[in-house]
Amino acid sequence: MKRKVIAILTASLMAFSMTACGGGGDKNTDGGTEAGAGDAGNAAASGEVTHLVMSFPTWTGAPADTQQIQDAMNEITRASLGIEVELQISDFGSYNQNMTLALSGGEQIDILSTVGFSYSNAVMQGYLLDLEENDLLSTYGAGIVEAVGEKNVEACRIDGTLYGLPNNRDFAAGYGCAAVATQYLDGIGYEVDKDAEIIRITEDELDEIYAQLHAQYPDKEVYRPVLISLQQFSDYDPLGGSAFGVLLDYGKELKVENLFTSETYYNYCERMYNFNQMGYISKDAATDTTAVGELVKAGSLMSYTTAGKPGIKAQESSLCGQDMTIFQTKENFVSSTSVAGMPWAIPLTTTDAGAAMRYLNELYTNPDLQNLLAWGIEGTHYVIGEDGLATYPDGVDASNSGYNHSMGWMMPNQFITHIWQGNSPTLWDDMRTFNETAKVSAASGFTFDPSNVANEVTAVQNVYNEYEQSLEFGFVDPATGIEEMNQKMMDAGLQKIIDEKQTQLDEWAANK
Amino acid sequence: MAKTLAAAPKKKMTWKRFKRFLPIYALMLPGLIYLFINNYMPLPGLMIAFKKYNAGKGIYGSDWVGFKNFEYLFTTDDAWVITRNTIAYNLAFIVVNTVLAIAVAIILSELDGKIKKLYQSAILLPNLISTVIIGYLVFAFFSVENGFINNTILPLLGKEAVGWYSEAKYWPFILIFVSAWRSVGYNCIIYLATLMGFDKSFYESAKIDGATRWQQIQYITLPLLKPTVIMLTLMAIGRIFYSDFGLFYQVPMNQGALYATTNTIDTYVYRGLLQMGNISMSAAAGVYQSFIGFILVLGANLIVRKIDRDSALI
Repeated sequence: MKRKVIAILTASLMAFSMTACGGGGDKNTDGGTEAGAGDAGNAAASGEVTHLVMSFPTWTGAPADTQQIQDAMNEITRASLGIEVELQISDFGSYNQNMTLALSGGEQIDILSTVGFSYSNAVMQGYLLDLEENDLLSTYGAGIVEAVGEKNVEACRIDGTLYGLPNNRDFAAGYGCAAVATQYLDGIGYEVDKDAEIIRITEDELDEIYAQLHAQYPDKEVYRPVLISLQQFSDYDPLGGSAFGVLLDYGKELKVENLFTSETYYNYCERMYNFNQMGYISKDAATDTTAVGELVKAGSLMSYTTAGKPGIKAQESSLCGQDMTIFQTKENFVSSTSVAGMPWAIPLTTTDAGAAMRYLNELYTNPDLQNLLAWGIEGTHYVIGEDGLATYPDGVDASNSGYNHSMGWMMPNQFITHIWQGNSPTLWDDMRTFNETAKVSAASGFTFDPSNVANEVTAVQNVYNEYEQSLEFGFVDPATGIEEMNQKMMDAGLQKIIDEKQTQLDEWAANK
Repeated sequence: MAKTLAAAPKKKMTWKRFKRFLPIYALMLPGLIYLFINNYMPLPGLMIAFKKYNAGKGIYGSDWVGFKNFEYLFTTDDAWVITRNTIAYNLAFIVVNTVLAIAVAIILSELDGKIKKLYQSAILLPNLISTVIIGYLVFAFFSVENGFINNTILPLLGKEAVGWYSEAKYWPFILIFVSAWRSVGYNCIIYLATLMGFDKSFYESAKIDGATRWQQIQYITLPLLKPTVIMLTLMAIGRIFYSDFGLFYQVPMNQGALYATTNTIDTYVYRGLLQMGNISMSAAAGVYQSFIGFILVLGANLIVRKIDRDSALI
């Protein structure tokens, strides 16, 4: 009898240990890859190839021909740097979640774009590497600093530490821009210069155009607000990317104020409320999430807000499938969060930080490598026309190209890539000028660390979610609605956030 | 069986008894191992809720912050609103869905053959539709400009159009209706299966005694269903502090103006943390939910034990 008991016990023990072995086995394979990567890292010194993983999103996930692009890129860098890269591309919607899981799970990622998930948040959670540790940047990244400019690199510091490198793109944005379908302007007899990129008018003139459009086309929706329209049509600097505590008047002074009690906010909401009263805005505007470009394409909408920049007319016209006219009523402005909006970073889970930085340096400086990543392979995905601009080869278009992600603005250095047809041949120079001549916030380069007021930010955000659309889409009378929201926000700790922002801002200004 | 065991005087757990039942205990082992790995091994992770999580330091190395991560839940009267909404909706769902499911199960059991299969499949169908699509089905009815109700029903009744997505007061009814429509098919299967297992001789003798259909239902079917109802209700109460995220987020189209009656703890936490991405605060909300849910299960079980000892879980 006793023997039987022992037999059963050992049997169950064995079963248990087998499952344990199963788990252990997995771990061993993990260890295997880690060891393998480590070996490769060591081997790089002796002339072999280091394997890096690079992550970024596109709107729809990895393009069909990603493997070809990866092979072509590796062909360049294997010889020159002894590095090969594995492109890990997610779709924009799940990128944030994928990265959080990968980074918290300790998966190897050596280079990543922080677009789509907050840079300062990633730093707060401790995912990113200090890029100046062991003189990483100064040893391997001299080309990067040269390509984007010392000033812009400095703007990516959080609490004095550099965790990310800015990419070259439009840092400034044209505020107060409205895109109007040109066919309707013709319909009301409004004369526009069809070649002008952006036409400057006043807000009153724009409202007058809307009034005429509504009179002429009463069945069409005149204007459709979206959540970002508030920022696009006012002049405040959203410190740290949130509307809780802002600098008014294009960030002229380092004085943090409550946006919701400002005249700017009241006027904006009142304008939308009037639009609604006059029937310019669809009653379903808050529930309908169809992209504005689609609505214009479908012929039901005439105008919407956008952010002005060189190339905006071509961009919006292609988005809406027809000629669009861009009006601008406010200034060009670089807000404090703009430069550090989506820097490239090296996460803690990298296997070889030195190699990652050398590769980044190559991305910022080597046009061949950058063109591959931005546009694909010449002859397959694009050809260079007689005018020197890139376009689709015969038989290829946006819908069947195997590599067409239109994420050029996210790439490390867009300014060394080809310019696509339909844009000005001097697009990148125009963009540099645009960045340099725009108004700059006095807090440019300031990054807000919300960890001390995390509870308040969450609570205030919940209040804002409740009122944001009703007020900013003009469904509620601002005379009563704003006061109600502001009171609730104050109860939730808005003043504490504003004070915290002011404290951090003063400290930042003193250390500058 | 359960009754005789419970009624028997408790025998001491001796080594001899243990030995005798050992093969049976061994059968339990795979289940226990699974339960341990899946439900108990992650428990130490609860500590994240009391820490300021930093990936560089890891879960164990991050700094302790006590109850700081819980504060945001209670800084506004939102805590009250979302707790009320979560519990009140779930109570309403439990009552309405149970009553409807039993009613439908009884009706179905009275039918036979092909018709029954047809009805059963038809009412099960909504359960298989994704919540996002349900959200748009509801939108097709309630859209302010193009919706069926505003354009067809209300003009017929001679009433003014209603801004459904900006008036919070209508949504308790809409949500309870949608929830019932979606879940009644699934819930009634369990009751139907139980009904089919009842001894037919009860009904035959009742018929001989001249009982009507209604009396049969009242005095035979419902009392026999009681243990199943209690069991399912207890399990539903265990999840009373969890709301159906899709129903409360997708169906009202995430409209701020409706928060007063559509905000539940899950949607509140989701919206708040979407901005912050703070793992510790999400974990804190999870701990709060589990804790309240645990108390509610124990409480409900206590009440059931007072009323009907045999049906209680512990």
